[in-house]
Amino acid sequence: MNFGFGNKIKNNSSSDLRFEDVFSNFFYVFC
Amino acid sequence: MKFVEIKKYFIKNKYFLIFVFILVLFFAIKISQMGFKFSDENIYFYMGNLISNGIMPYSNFFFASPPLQIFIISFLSFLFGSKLILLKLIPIFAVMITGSLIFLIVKKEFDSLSAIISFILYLFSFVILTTTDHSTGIHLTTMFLILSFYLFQRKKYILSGSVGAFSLLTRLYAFPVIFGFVLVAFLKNKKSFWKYFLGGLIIFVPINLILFFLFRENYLNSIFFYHLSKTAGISKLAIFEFFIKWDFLLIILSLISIFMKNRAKLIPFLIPAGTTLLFFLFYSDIYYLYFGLLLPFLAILSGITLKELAENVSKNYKKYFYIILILVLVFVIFHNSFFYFKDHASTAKIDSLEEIANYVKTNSNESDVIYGSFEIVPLVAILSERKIINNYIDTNEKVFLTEVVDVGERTKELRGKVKFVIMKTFVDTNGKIVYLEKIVDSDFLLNECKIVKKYPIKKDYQDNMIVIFDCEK
Repeated sequence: MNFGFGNKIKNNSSSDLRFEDVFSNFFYVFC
Repeated sequence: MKFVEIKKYFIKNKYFLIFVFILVLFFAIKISQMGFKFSDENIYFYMGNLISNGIMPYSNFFFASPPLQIFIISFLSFLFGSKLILLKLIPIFAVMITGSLIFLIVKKEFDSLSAIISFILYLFSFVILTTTDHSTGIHLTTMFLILSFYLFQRKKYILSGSVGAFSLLTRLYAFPVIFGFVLVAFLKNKKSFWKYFLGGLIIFVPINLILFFLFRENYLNSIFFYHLSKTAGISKLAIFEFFIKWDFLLIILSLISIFMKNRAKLIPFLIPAGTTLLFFLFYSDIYYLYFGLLLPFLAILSGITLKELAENVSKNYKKYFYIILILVLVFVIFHNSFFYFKDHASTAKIDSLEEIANYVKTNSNESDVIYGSFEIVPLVAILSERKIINNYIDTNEKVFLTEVVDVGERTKELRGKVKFVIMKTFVDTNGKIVYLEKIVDSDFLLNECKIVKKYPIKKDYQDNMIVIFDCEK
């Protein structure tokens, strides 16, 4: 999903992220 | 030079050497990924080009911000000539300068170790890695803001205020940070406050008066009233969630800093961070890139706090102190760079730009004009040497949704005059266009124009196709 990294777009789709995902990256990289 | 001498040199200059290494590493990562993207930056590149030809914003074309950024782009376009890609260096150099200023600010107020940690946390934050792919103006604005802070710290209050005004002349969203600086100045001493204020006014007021007398209500409507009429583009909650997820460490460390023993010394950084955060909470139209404004303060607070924490944890085991710090920083650099490369660096790249520009150029006359998605048309116009009809460069759908421009009126102006309309869109597996942005009447495109070319987009956040419509009668 585009959160507006470089363009101020109109985008009405809702978030697909959860707070539980916060630590998931760590495991993705190291496990 | 003997080994012992080399070792001595390294130990003596370790912070400087780490500083240079990080700067080079960041630059190498960013340069390796540089390429044109579907982005707001393309609008600014085209506008800079127009200014070089004496065509002015507000009167000749719509521009939703104060003019400093596009004048800088215009000047650099003149320097770089046809090497348009070099304009993408602007945000990269801006954050490298901001990072260096962060290092100097923290070094003066605290110590070299906290300074180098803040510097690394800033440059390798996820916000900075991802948003410096785009020359959007946020990093120029932040660079002026942090330079203003640096000068204030060096007691050059008037100059500091003037540089602060430059940030406002780049983007008005610098105001919440400036407001934070003004509060800090007021708390510090009244004399510094008035000097800062005066320094800002002597730049901001005359330049804005000149712009107002030149462009009248067009200027105020474009840079100010237009923004007040905007509604939320992307879910604010989703943006905050994304930001928290990817720069989690900075947020946690900044929160911890509020409870640290030395928090009184952190007030000059906490106040601007607070005013900026309030702006994000209350302003309706927020984008992820705006967090670039907040990052210097979070990085400073985090750097100081991380050093304090590591010191406390390793009180009885001094040798673990550097190991903890190095592990945390290497993890941040590795983790954020890895996900930047994996999910963002190659996303939204315009792979077929040259092909599209060649097609437009070889299938039109010099006098033909084009129109379409702001994320690509300005670049195609520059490269194909074709003009955008009536300088309708900023075709962000929001311009139409806020009723600044009426879609029906715009379509009337295009009918019979425009040669190509280029749209970025999504095409389903049956080859059917799923939607067309409401920047032109879709009936006009589908019934009165002919699809002449389709260029697949390899990797994007939302679309998968560039479609060229030939609308010549």
